[in-house]
Amino acid sequence: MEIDNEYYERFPTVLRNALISGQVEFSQDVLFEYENMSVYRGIKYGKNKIKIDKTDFYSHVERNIPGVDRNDISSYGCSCFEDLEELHMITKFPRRNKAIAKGTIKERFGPCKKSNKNTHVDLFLYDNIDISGEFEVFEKWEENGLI
Amino acid sequence: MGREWINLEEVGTLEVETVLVTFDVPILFVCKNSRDRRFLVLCIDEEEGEYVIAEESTDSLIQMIDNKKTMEYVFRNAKNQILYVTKYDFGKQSFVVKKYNSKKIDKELLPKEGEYFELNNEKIIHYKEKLKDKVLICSKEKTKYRVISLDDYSVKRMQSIISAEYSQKEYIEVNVSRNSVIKQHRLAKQHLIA
Repeated sequence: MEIDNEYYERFPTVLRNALISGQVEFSQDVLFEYENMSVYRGIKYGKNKIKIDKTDFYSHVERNIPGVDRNDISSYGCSCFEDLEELHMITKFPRRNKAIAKGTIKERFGPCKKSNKNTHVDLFLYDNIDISGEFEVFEKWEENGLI
Repeated sequence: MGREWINLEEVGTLEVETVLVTFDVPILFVCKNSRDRRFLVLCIDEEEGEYVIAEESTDSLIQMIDNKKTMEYVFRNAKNQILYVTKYDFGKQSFVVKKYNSKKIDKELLPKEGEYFELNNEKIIHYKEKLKDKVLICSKEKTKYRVISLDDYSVKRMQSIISAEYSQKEYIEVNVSRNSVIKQHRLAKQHLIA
């Protein structure tokens, strides 16, 4: 597969433009071909939102989070983990309306980058790919703990 | 140093040194400013730009990562008992910050009481080693150098005397774990002490 401007057209506008302009680039260890991966993803969940939808897989840039670093390609990815340990840390903090979803990511969704120091996986979704149907709520909490 | 994250009048520009905990966004991370002061940051609401920032000594961070102190304790005992709480002003496109007394701030803005860090992976181990690999500034006194530390931890941990024959400069930086001179310079003391 040729990784060029034509390939970059497959991504959402913000990532596409950042790749084409050279603002960001895929590192050598990004996987464009990989076996299906079972992962966990932190999502919004609460009385106003009890279903997983495509917004749960938006990148920091797509969500327009203040302070995001647009020169870091990770800001255009969707953070997942292959195990629960780090995600479980959330229960130690004052987080509101969050849950953990479990699902499978596939190479046809987009390339990914795996950390070599923990189980973090950055998934760079192609444009118009909705993977919410591949995930289900795995753990959710109220103020006093797991429910 | 990592990427620039935020610029606050009170502490300067903070650059992300390492992210300790991620959920869908970084939840707990460490920043440094231009004077190499470290700040522990807790994300409360990423979409509102709400973060709690505490200046911490290297020793405090190590104790937290080593599970000797709870995370809440570390925030409550921030340097100068000050916590900075940010909120993003979308109209002005900038962060606004308020200062709070760390002993009195609402517990809803801190890690839960009694909770230890308890996360241990290669990334955390690597960062902990980096924290422990401290550099001391030593000033020349007659024929020897004596440590003038950057924080209390250095003074308590080690008093390193490096023979002056190895250096002609007024100040030297010594890597603690290797006990070796890594940099020699001639600067006014105030430039070196944070």
